[in-house]
Amino acid sequence: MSNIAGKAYAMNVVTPSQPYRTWINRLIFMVARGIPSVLSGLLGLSLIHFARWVIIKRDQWPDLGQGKQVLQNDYMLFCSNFNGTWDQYIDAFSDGIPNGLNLFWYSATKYPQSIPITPFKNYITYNQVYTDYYYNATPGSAQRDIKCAMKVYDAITRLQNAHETQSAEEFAKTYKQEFLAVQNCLGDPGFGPVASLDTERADMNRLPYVHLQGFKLADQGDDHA
Amino acid sequence: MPDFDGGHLFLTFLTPIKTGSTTGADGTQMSYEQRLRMTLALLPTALQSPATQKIGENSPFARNRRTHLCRFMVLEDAIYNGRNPKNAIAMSVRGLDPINPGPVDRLNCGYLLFAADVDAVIEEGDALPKTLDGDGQTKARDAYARNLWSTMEAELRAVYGNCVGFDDVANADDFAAYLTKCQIETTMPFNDYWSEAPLTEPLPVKAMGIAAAVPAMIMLLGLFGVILGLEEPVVLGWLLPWQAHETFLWGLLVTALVVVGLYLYVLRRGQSPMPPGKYGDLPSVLKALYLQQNFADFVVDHQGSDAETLHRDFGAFLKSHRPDDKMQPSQAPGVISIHSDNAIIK
Repeated sequence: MSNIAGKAYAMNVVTPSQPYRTWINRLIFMVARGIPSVLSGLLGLSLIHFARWVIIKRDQWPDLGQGKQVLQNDYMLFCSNFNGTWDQYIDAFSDGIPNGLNLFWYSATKYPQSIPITPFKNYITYNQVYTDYYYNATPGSAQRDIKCAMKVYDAITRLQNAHETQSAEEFAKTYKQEFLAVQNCLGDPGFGPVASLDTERADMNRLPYVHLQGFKLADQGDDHA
Repeated sequence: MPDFDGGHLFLTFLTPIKTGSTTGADGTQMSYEQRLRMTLALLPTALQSPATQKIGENSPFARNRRTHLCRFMVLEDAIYNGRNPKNAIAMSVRGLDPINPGPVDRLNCGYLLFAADVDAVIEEGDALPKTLDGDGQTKARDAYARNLWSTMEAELRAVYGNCVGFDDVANADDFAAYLTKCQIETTMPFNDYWSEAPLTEPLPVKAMGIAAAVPAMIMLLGLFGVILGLEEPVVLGWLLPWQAHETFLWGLLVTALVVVGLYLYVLRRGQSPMPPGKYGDLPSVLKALYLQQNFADFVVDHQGSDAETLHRDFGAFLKSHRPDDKMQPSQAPGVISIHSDNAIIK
């Protein structure tokens, strides 16, 4: 079990909301998507690959025969894939878009507001559920690294066009211009910092079991009702 | 549906976990939830650290180039944040004693969350769509589910075998139908793989405010007229031959209709997707990382090169790394960099 995959951290936060208030939260999300200044606050953090907020109405919990859920509350599930440590992320959210956060958790029961930060961190801690399995297709690259790589891809495409049409001297000039524009985007991907020695050891200790598992799990033992 | 945004599907599935006990791989008696957690704990992750590189077994999700990020999470029960504070006077009037516990939500079983951020495509490498109607989203979601089944059936059986209703799943189509039953709509998706922030039409907030304020104002003028015992609405009566109570009632009705209309308009606007990024699909992301690393090496090797050499060698660079072909050569999914083992798709 780990919340960390390479340079990304998977956060899951589940918060209860009183059903008569969640429609307001849905409205706030939709308004946020239509107001660029609100969205630019999130974009400006530049540390989130993907994130989502999911309002689970109390009658929406899937019933595949185990019986319908009888609940007093709706729940909001927040899943984020971000770079940096847990503390850095919460700090960035709280410092960068404090009111945006308050709006996004508007209907959450006992939400303490994003400032001051200590009760806010406590709230996230008590409502966070750890990830049991986390996969990241680009573990060596943070979100900014990926966006940098996209800029380089663009520069190479432009250089490709220049290479077809320009003389060697003209191309050398274009090359220098493009290189100047993307020179800060040429960092190497690499390992994320190891969260702790325990994490490192846990990964090492998994080695024989992962190989053992190698998919004999499909023929697990008998089931008991 | 906001499951679709920026050319990606933000898939959220909640699957009920079986209650009762079962036998683990080692013959130990355990709950389904425990067996599920153990299975997930031993599922190979990406080759993302020195230790996992030593294990050498990449994640089963790295067998496709659609999944940017995904996670499984076991939710044992509903989250309870303690009793909601109540007004002490109201409690006293109603004769409620806070020492008696209030109702607490309990789920009748645990749930397995599977949340995946994937390209909304039918075939791997297709361009990300700008828009996708409900039917198109269903097709893309099912195509993803079938792709997972064809590439990691054993792992999916091991995971979902602990969940309610999975025993009848026999093939890829069944699995797609099974996931459909477990899907929850994502309310607010967010992704930032744009080279430049997307230009979106902002909500006409001022116009919306005026549209709601005008009938509300008329309603209030009518209400003041009623309160003051006038036959005509305040101010408005000088201009229009309306009765105060009529003005109030019609104003109230129109205000309510406008507010509901604006609410529905905002919801519909909010659900329209953002445009996809130019390189937002996973094959392009991996290709971009591949090119970036090779270009960095090229730059280092050609510091101080003359124009002829630069031109000639860049031609060789293009021939070798083929920027026009996003599928190959490229960086494989689930590895740190092109310098890792088996990290290049040729």
